[in-house]
Amino acid sequence: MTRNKKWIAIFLLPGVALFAYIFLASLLVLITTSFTDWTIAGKLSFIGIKNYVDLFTADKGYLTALKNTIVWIFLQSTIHVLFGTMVALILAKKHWYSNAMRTVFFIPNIISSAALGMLFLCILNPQFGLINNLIKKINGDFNVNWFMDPKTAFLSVTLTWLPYAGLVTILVISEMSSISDEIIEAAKVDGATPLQADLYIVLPLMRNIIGTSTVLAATSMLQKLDIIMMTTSGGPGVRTMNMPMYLYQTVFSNNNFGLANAQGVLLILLGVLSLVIIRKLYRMDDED
Amino acid sequence: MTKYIKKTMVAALMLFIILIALTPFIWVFMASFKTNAEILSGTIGLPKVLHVQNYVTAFKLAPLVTFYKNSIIVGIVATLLNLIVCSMAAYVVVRCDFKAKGLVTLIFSIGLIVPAAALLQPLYTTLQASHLYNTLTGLILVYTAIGMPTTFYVMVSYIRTIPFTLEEAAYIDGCGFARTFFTIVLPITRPAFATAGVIQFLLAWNEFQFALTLTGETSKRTLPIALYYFKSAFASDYGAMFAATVVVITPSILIFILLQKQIISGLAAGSVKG
Amino acid sequence: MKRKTERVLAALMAATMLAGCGATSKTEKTEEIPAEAQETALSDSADESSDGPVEISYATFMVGSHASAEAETEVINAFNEQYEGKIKVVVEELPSDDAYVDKMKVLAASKSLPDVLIGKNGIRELAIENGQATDIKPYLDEDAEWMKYVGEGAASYNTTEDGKIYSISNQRQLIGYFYNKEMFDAVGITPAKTWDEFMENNKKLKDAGYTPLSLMTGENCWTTNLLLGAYVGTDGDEGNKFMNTFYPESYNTDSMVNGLEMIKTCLTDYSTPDAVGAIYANAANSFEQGQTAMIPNGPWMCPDFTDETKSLPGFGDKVGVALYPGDGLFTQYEVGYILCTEGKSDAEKAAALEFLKFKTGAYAQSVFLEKAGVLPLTENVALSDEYKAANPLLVDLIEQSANAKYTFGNFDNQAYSSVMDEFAVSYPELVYGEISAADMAQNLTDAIAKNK
Repeated sequence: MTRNKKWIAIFLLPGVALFAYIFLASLLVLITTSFTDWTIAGKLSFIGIKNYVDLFTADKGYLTALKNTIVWIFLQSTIHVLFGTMVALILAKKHWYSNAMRTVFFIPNIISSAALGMLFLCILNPQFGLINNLIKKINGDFNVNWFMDPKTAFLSVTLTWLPYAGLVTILVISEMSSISDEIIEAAKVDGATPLQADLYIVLPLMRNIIGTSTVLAATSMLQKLDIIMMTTSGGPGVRTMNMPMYLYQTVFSNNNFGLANAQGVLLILLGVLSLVIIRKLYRMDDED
Repeated sequence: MTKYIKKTMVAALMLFIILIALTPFIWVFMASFKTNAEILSGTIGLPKVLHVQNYVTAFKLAPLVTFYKNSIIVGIVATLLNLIVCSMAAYVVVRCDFKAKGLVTLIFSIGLIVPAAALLQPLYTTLQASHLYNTLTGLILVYTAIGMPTTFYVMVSYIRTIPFTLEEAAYIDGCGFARTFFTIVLPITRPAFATAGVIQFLLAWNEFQFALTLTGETSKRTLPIALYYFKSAFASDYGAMFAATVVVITPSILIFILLQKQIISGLAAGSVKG
Repeated sequence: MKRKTERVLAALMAATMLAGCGATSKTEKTEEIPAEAQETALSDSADESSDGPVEISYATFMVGSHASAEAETEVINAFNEQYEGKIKVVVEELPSDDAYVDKMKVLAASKSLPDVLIGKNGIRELAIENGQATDIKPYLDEDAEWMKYVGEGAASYNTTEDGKIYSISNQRQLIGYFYNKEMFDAVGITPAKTWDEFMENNKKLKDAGYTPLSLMTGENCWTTNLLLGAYVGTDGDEGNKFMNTFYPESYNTDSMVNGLEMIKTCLTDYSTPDAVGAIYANAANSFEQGQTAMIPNGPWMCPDFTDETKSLPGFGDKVGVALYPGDGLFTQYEVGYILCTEGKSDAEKAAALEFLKFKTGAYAQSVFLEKAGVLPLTENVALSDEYKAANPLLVDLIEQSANAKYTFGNFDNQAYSSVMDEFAVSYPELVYGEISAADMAQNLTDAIAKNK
């Protein structure tokens, strides 16, 4: 399928140029300064790998942040994607509610996180929150401080991301439109139940987009910041700390660019690692 | 019997989705008509009096109209630019053979894995040096670039499902490379185009940190910044904030419904592929 | 046919590339453009010989719902009017305090802070370190009229160890606590004179079915840290000295540990169920809705008490204000405005200084007092009788301030951001018994080293 090199270059050029303009210089700064003691006020000298060593020895918080991020990446790429895909399989069929539900499920992705953060604080508030009041009605005396109790904080933050699964649903549904009805009909003629058709015909054809959804869901955990910032700030202690939150504090609370950029490099490495693993698992580089 | 169980399970699932997805929306909508005190006291249900004042305050306290105008420009241009740039790249990555494929994929993935907090300062310097600080053009380019991975992946995935026979026929008819792409391939990818477009539009429409850092004047700013006009250390106005939120998300929902038709039309038609 | 597509495509490419390389093409353009355009460029930058006004930059978070937003606009407009044709202030609005600090830090890193800005939350220190901040002392020394309204107190508060002044305060703060007189009367108590009495009062209130305190540990732990600061600041001379120290080297003091013990009890037994993790708005709302008996906070809260979208009807008459037990009071000056004109043109320097003087002068202070309840720096800006009549709580607090035995500053002004972050994540651990008060003091001390 080799084609004219000129066209390949022309088609790739705009994206590559944009990458060079927006990311390349920043990446170079990020990587080189991760070996310096650069602070906001501007002092800068080479200190070798001290930042990297410090991250793992000077503060116990970073290891927890790393661990939490990996756990969240794992949960996102499994439960989140599974949930979204399951809903997609249901909503791709012509039920009377399919149209409306597709929109409904996507709404949390539309509401900006400034509003969502405040909303979570309100409905999970231990005193007047919707959730606790509902449970109180059923169970009498009930009082859990969801975001602040060390026992529930991690779970609560994890659950705040569930509403975003609508993105996976929409991605999968849009790709389902590439499957022709004939294939499904043929399967039905052969005696397959709708569930069997979904499992053995539709899902395998969706391999690429599910892989893509997994990539997006997993890497979104390398950027998640707003909701944590507005609800737990990474606490209690470091129980809900993740890498982006830790990095943000290192820059904006502690003024330490050098250390933050070392974290940036590690975050990118973790991202590349996740990408490689997911692409391998879903055989995303293979031709069909 | 099993059919009955299945139906119940699907119904339960739908109910669950309505709960987690619609509650936030209804909650925000109702809060936009409540007073600060009602919101903070967790009053469930309808507000006592429709506090329409929130919407007036929202427009009075924040330059919503200016921000709206800018957001529409930034949202639309960044989405179109992003879709064109990424679908072209996705097309050659799927259809052509060249050595640097891995590298190209990495280049188009980078936006997913570079932490925004670490990008702010270097990006500020880059835009400042190229005189694009405090311009809508600067913001458009940044959003186009940040959104590249999602669009690229969605398009790659979709183009893979298109049988090559269609393009082959076009070539035999004497169609050139670019013409085949724009007139044959792109129309087929409409569902993916629409999905990626929605996601990209939302990115440009909702992004806050870059918008604030990379612009300096009120006349060059976008809607997400408006929401923060109602948050201050000792005098937050949550009623107005949720009113502004409703004003901000309404166009997004409309655009989503509009573009959804594209996705569904693909579903219904059964499409041309096999 | 093929050619046509190619041409369309080429145009498209060109457009994309243009956008992508807008950078270079734009710079080239400015170089190419001759005489006339360069003239405008010159008048844009500060050049006295040109006839356009000198433009100076200013960044502010006092916008939107901020209590001082109205006063801020009025003062800036008044300045631009008075100096029309000579100086023009270009304002960057940064809604919300956090967004302001974040952006200023990005600008500080790029050495492009605006000419005038508020240097709170460590921004002043960054501006001094990156070489942008200007020593204001010489200018203050040669302008007696200005000095009269800045006052000795504010000037010495902001004097560095080497005798320089890098910022002019924007306000004096008096922070006691507000209490619900109805509840106090019902239980038969008066504002406590000692911390033991304070805790007894809490118990009496609780036994009578009231929630004593509006505390919160979200955001910057504001009301909780005020109570802690008041305890430490009235705990003998040593504690008082600690609460008057900028960036202390250790939080492992007896006063701190005892104070944290007390706070733990208050959070567990004497506050609302949502106190741990609540944001300021929650704490304020509980008090204003008559659900709690006390809230530590400053007089800027007073307008809320008569605002019916925030407080119960008639709530204003029920509120009293008091000094902390041990006759303690937060009295301090804010960091205030810094001048970042090092290395800029003389015209810009002079214009920025002029704006700073205006912003901290008699007129601006009186506007901020009348419109936003911001206390002036000296008594030379007098409170009018109407103002006093309309703001009895503030007058009461000023009168009581004469009796304060201990005065001190608050954590928010005197601790590094890294320490403030640690407060927010350590309080829940303290309350849920994961760590002891001594552990928390140690955590705070450990957090100091993170600051760069």
